[in-house]
Amino acid sequence: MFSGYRPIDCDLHPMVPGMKALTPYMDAFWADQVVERGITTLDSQSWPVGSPKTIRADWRGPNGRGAETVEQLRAQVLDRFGVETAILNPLYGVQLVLNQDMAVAFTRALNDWTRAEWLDRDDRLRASIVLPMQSVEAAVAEVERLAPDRRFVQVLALALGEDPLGKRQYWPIYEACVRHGLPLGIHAGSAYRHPQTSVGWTSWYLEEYAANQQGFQSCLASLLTEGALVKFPQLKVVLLESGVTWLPAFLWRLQKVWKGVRFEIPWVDRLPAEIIREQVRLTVQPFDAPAEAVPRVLDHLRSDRMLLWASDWPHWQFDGDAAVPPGIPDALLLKLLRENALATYDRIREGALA
Amino acid sequence: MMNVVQPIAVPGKPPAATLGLIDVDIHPRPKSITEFRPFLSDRWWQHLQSWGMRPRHGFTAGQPPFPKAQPLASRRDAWPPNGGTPASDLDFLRFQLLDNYGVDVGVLNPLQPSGQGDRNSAFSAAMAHAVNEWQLEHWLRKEPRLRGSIVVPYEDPQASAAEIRKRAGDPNFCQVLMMSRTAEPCGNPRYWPIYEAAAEAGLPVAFHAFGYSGWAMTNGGWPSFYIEEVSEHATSCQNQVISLVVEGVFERFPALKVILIECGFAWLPSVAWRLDTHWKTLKSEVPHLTRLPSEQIRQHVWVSTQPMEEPERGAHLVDICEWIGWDRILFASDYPHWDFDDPRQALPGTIPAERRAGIYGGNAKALYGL
Amino acid sequence: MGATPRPCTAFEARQGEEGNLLPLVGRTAPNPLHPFSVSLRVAKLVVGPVSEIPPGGRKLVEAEGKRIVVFNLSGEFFALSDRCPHQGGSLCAGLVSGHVESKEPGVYHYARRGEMIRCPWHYWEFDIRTGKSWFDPKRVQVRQFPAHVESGAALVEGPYTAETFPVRVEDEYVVVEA
Ligand code: FES
Repeated sequence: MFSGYRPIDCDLHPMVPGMKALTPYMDAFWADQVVERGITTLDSQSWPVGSPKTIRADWRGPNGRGAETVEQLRAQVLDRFGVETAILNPLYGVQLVLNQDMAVAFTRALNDWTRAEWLDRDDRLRASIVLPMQSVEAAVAEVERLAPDRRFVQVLALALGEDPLGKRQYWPIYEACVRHGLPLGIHAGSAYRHPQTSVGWTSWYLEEYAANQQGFQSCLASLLTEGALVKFPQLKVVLLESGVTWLPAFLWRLQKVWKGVRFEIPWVDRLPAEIIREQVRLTVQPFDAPAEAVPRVLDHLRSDRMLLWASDWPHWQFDGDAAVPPGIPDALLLKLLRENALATYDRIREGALA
Repeated sequence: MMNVVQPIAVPGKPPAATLGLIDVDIHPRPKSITEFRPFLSDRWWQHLQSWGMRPRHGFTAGQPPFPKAQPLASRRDAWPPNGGTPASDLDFLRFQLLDNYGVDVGVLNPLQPSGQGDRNSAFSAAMAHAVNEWQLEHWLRKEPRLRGSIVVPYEDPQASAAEIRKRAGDPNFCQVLMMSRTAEPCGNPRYWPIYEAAAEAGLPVAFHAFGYSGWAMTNGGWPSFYIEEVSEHATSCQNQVISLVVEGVFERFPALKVILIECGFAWLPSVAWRLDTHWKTLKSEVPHLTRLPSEQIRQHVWVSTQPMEEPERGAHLVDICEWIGWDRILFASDYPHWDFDDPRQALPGTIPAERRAGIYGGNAKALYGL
Repeated sequence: MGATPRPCTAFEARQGEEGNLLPLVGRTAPNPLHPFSVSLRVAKLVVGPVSEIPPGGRKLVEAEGKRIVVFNLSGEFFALSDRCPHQGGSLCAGLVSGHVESKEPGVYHYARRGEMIRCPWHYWEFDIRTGKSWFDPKRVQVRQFPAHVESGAALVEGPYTAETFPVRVEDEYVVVEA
């Protein structure tokens, strides 16, 4: 399936079984708060545990949950697919928390849990630093706290947050990313500061899941127009679980408008599509196109450096072992499975060379 | 400063428009708000005088939250020489658009001031009625090439349905007009009376990019720039298509036709594929969907050209048109707005000659039954 | 630059695979009056007395099937095809504005007020001095024509006389080579 390559899996989601699992990583005050106030779970509506999308049926454990142990991960992905390196992106709902102090405490606990329960147990594993986006200062502090551990290879924010991610208040975070060689990972999901669409709350999960595609467009538009990408040319942005195929049309529209109203954002002084092709990467589970359309979509992207393979474990994006989206030509496999990831993640590259 | 110039090239329609030239997106405006006076009751005229429009954003007097690139978002050469705002003067509109390009049929989409999406639904309904009467009086009865849109107060679906039923059968009107930014996703059952009435009247429902939902303009908060607002028109329309499909609107109203005007269209295949892909894993949630989303979109959704996405390679746009369906693409100029498309220049050279006649006129003829 | 009219660069670009996508009218609608038609004959066009185009002003002239807009930038005259290379908007009807650049996000360096012409349609901006577009100066340009000032005396003596208005020996005139 991988033509003999040992793939780098850029998007996996260990699931926190419940707040009890995190309290050992909190100070006494917050640990007691969790218990005394009955905070049992931060599972998010972005990933309802019961949804068939959230956990593939054959990856669910007897308790109905999944992605809870390293053993599951090994059996279902690492050993099964011969994965060389895998990046964990925890999606536990710490970004939804409204109390900033609580959010910081819970996010730190989540990152420490990831380190102790996962990274320490399998040396193929790497992780993203989940950012407490409720406070830019705290987010930077969290990056500084964890960056010395080279197993943290990127930072992680949600596509649907409080403010569009290009806004300048977030820039100290991107400065820290550049300082430490950490890409900015943006994953599907909402912090529920806004409805899942710009026209209000959706009725169905299918609509909500689909709406992440719009959120990614808005993120990119913001990162570009505010000038974050030109201000930090070394910053790599990785869009996780975005669906991918929306990108060309988005660029065609944005670039067309830019030709006329670029006066509004004069710091964007070359073609937006070029900037985005240089700095933005996308994982390919899911890849929202039928197999027969894939080669043409890849042609529309006009770059073979942008796509990174991911299993998206334990989300249900494919059946059996069909982990590479159908329609991807063999000629792209080496780049997709390994080289693009190595070029994106400095910290994985240094490990691979060591 | 010289504001008005003669057309550069000789007047005439594109030679490829052998099935006629139908422009599905023209934006008439009143010369002054008093043009609406005869069609409003004293009560609502007073309201309009005192309060003006109250859209779901904070500014008054028509000032948009994201200032446009040009005054009234209009072509700088579209201000009528005799005064008034762009597309407020029928003679000048004839001269600059209809006669100049040989437009056979032009569809009016009154955007502002129309009261659509106003916070006060009763006022919105009164305004919608007035705007429709105004279209008849000032445009449609005077110029046989023009067709009107039934403007509806869509946040009050019952009143909208009543307005549609009142106009049903009047050949002056060829579609129902909604804005793309409704207060709830437009597939929500609360809007269904509109679709029911439109389907019953045999009229397509056009969603024109614009309006204020009252929510942040992205699902991750408010952007900063006008260029983002323009980009976000596409995302709001994407959400609307998703909502129409997932809520089962097309299953419930099999005769319903939807037109996306000024929303762009290159994104539509990706949205359809996304729905197909994830419908497969989430079918259990939406048992009311019995047909593949992409099939529903292919059957029920039309798009208009302007503003067409501009790929770096022209051939890529042809891929998109093929995926959408050549018979689903309608020509639009967006006159008098700044991103206006000249009919003779709008279609990229990569679009095959045999497809142009349909886009220019054939597809719209079939859709509207003209 | 040479006085020989040449097809617009954007036109050339559109011929190629990487073109700017939008075809010329000429490809679908051959138009004898189209200003892209190549003529090797150079005509000297007397636009009018200098006093008629004050600094910051502009004038549209039509000759030999071409429409040309002449700008006065603080006493220097520049002539551009009136036709925007994108979709043909009439540049004469456009907005004259300045040029904004930025060294870094949030910093606006606004200069050259009055020296950029924005197309009245899709707002592409062109440098009045060169005809070059800002966003793709190599490939997207408005055709430029040499313009200069000549004395009425020289014009009366020379072979080129303005036919539509009398030339007075003591005045100065804007002349375009088209
Ligand atoms: S015609 Fe499009 S910018 Fe001039």
